[in-house]
Amino acid sequence: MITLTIKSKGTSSPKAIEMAKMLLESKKQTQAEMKEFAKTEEFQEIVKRLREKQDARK
Amino acid sequence: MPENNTFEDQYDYEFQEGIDKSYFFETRNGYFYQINFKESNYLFSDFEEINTNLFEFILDLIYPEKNSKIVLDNLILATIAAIFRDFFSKNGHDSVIYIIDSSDSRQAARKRKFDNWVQLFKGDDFFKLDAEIIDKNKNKIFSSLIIKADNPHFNAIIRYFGSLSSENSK
Repeated sequence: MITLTIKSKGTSSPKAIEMAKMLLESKKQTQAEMKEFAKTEEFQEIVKRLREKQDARK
Repeated sequence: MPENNTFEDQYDYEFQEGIDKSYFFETRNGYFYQINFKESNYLFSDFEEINTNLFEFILDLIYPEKNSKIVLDNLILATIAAIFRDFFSKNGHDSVIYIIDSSDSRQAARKRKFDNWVQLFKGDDFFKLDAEIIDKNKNKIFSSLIIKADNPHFNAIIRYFGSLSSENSK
């Protein structure tokens, strides 16, 4: 992987700060939704299928 | 599960296509992780010159809910890399953005962890643009954009993402 880094010398542009805030809020919301999903029957079905795959490889 | 388990070089994962593109996997210690690629085209809303999609990358331990003793192992890293590759094999012209939470001053450690996750992308197939965003309170927020090097809109996307955070940058 090629990596390029942009380092900020001072306060970033209002647009960049706004974008970062939106992303952080979105991430927080999605993580809460993921944890709720883990309590559902649908998640239990995923657990079952993953374990069946693992068992089949033993 | 015994240590000499049957996993080879990564964990099995399950993909679910929905509003988000979700992946699930279970570690040998019984931890379940979910990775979401969440469509976030609103971030490119004034980027009208090309038609491309942007996805937020979000990873979390979703089960067990309260667990302070997370055991990291190399298969987790390999699985995350495999999931990234699978995502890009289906969405080769799209971009992925990752934002690092800075609410508790541990953002530098999280940044190192993320860089560790993607270190398995050997070669020149992928390009990562890291950007530091500094808010008015001098909080440093790290973000990374990952894109395939052969993306037909490569230059335009990198230029646009770079311009968002580079107004006062070097």
